[in-house]
Amino acid sequence: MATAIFPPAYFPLKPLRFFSGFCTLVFCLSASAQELRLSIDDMVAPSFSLRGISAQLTLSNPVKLDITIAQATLQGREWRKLALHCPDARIERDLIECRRGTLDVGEKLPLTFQYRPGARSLALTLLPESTERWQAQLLWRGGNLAASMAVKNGKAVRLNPWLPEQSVRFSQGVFDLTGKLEIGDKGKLDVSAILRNGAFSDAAGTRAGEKLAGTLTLQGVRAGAWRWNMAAAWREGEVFWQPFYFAPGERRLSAQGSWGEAQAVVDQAQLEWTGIGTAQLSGAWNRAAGRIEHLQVTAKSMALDPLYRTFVKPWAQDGVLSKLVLSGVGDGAASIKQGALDEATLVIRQGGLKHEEKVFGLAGIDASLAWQQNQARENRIHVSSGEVGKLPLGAFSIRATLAPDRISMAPLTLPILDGALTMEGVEAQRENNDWRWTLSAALQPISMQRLSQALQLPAMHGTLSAVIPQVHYARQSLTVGGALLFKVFDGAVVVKDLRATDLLSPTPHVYANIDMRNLDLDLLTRTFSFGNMQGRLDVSVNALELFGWRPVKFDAKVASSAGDYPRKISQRAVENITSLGGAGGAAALQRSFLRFFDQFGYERIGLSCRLERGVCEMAGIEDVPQGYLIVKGGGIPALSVIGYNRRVGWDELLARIQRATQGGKPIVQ
Amino acid sequence: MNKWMSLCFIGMLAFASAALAAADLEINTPAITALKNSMQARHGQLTAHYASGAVGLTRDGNVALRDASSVPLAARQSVNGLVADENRDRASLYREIASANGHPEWEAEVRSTFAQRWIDKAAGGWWVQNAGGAWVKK
Repeated sequence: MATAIFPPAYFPLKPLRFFSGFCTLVFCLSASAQELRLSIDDMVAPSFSLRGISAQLTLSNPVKLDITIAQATLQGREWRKLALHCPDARIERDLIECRRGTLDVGEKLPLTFQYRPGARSLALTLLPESTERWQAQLLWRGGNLAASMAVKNGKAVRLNPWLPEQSVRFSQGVFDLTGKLEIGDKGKLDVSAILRNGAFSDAAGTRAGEKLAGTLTLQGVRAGAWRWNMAAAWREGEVFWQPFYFAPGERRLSAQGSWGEAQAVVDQAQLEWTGIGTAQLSGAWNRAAGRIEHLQVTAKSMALDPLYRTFVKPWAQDGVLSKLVLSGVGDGAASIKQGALDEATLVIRQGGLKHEEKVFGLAGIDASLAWQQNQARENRIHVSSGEVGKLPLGAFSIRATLAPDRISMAPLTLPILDGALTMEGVEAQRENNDWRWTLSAALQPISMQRLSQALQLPAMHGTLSAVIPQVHYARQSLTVGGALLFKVFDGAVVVKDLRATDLLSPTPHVYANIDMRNLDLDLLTRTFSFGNMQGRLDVSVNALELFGWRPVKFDAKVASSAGDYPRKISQRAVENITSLGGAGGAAALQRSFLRFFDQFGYERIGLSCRLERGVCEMAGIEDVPQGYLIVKGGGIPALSVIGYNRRVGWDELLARIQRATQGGKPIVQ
Repeated sequence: MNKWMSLCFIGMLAFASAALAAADLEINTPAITALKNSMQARHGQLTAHYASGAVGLTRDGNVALRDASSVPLAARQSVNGLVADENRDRASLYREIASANGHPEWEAEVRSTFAQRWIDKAAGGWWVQNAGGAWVKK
């Protein structure tokens, strides 16, 4: 019996450019069945290849069709040992049908298909699971392909082989999809998909989503280039895309544009982000250059706090930017040209800004901010009120010119209580992607009484004023040129060689030399409940080093100022000084007749502490046999105070100072 | 619980400090105290992530995010922050201990000694890097 050779299958895809390899056809005749075997070494087209194809048709009853493919690649994906088994095939003149077939792609998938060579149509149904169905229909007509696809309860994990190599992988989720595609002289695309309970992640977990639900519709028509429009809604679920975290909440994107050989264009797009606001976008992607040709984004009435928490805070690992709470709304716009930011503007209305730990805060911010490439733009910020720590700030305005690599600010006056901090020459220059800031400042006199009240410190008298000649800041390092000059306690404080590094870290390093001259001891001791002293004092703190705002090293000296002035010391002050320098003196005082006097005269005071490795090496005016002289008596009645301990742990010394300045009795050992 | 974790942390730190014979690893300066306090405060937050395997101890004396998938999505960036902060403090600690000994050039040895001791003292169930750099569960 002769075997009928079925009509050659029409292979409709034009891109198949060559068909190489070795092809054999073998007819096997037997008493029970006739077999037709076909072997093809390889079939190669630009977008796919099949190697080691072997087909076997057994004309038994029912007819069996078995096809195996050693290796298949499609769009860069590769499968090995593919097999199609149709134990119940139907071969007719105009029909090849596979009923109850199985496609083996590692996983065995139940399959049926019908191929009608005359009509040039293929209908394919995959039933991987009882509730999961994948259907496709392909129809070739006049060189055009019309395809339709429907997926019901498709497992998202089946999409993984089609995703880029280093991309995320679905671990969960099902989707429904219906789609129509026409390829030919005129193209048409219409896809609609729904995802439920989706979850994806990359290997490191730095890009992941969970419990995702959303919809996507995409329509396109080809007339030269593809014209398309789409709408997507992300309704449920959360996403972490390092460093950003997007909490559950609804977001919608709708867009329309075109897709051509050279460019992908978004004519208009709208992104609605629940809690933040709505943004309009348009732009073009240069496909050849792989960059944004142009992009315009505008957004009205954005809620600033969720915008900051979602898109700005994740970038700021530490420092001030990571600990802000904003309020108010803003209108923003940005433009990118040829891959680079060209212009950005932000208008803030009734904004507020607070540090999470209440380090500072600003309220009633109205601002108009603008930046433009290759052009300087004027920026204005008005702040109604604010505070730094417990210190209130009055209203102030900032006018600044912002250029791509330079910021310069008009003189700024920051009202503080009854004084003000004025800053001049505020300039920032960008060098190698780092901003270098310079400024000079002056503190116009602030009443110490109001200042101490605001800071909830013991009441102080006099005024605080300062001159800050030149400040430089770059790479978290601050250097003050010249000397800071403060006037406090009727004396002068000069801070020299002030510099700080790692300023935005939790453990900044600060270095300085401090000189205080002619401090009024009466004002000083009254302020800190130390026990009254009269006189004048010079204090020098050299080679001061702070780490994490704690002193780790310094060489400090306290000494009576030169000059002629009353020198008196109260009994309590004597006790407190004695307690700083060690034990013994105060107890001795209490035992002697001197306890009947409230005040004593003195000639000189002198005490030094050299702090290193947590230990304060103490010394006084001069060494005496038992220790060192802290107060040298003079006048009637006179009293000298001697310190005994030369080495005191810094923490212990701090505790002693705290006890002494809080008005409590010193503990004398 | 916090107290227990603090004691555990101090114990680990003390144990780690008992190593490098040539250097005084228990040396205390205000800077080292500040760093220890900072690390101790953070240790309570990191413990749960050590236990879950999200964060492990590396062979070079750092900590690393080894399995982000065991951290809820909303917390992943904050864990990244904890890891970055911890590593910055650890680097400062090794540097400060070497400097306090008067030998800044010992920093690498100090780090290496601490690395081994952190790993030796890690609790059962925590993940640590072995000498080859592979993660193993204690």
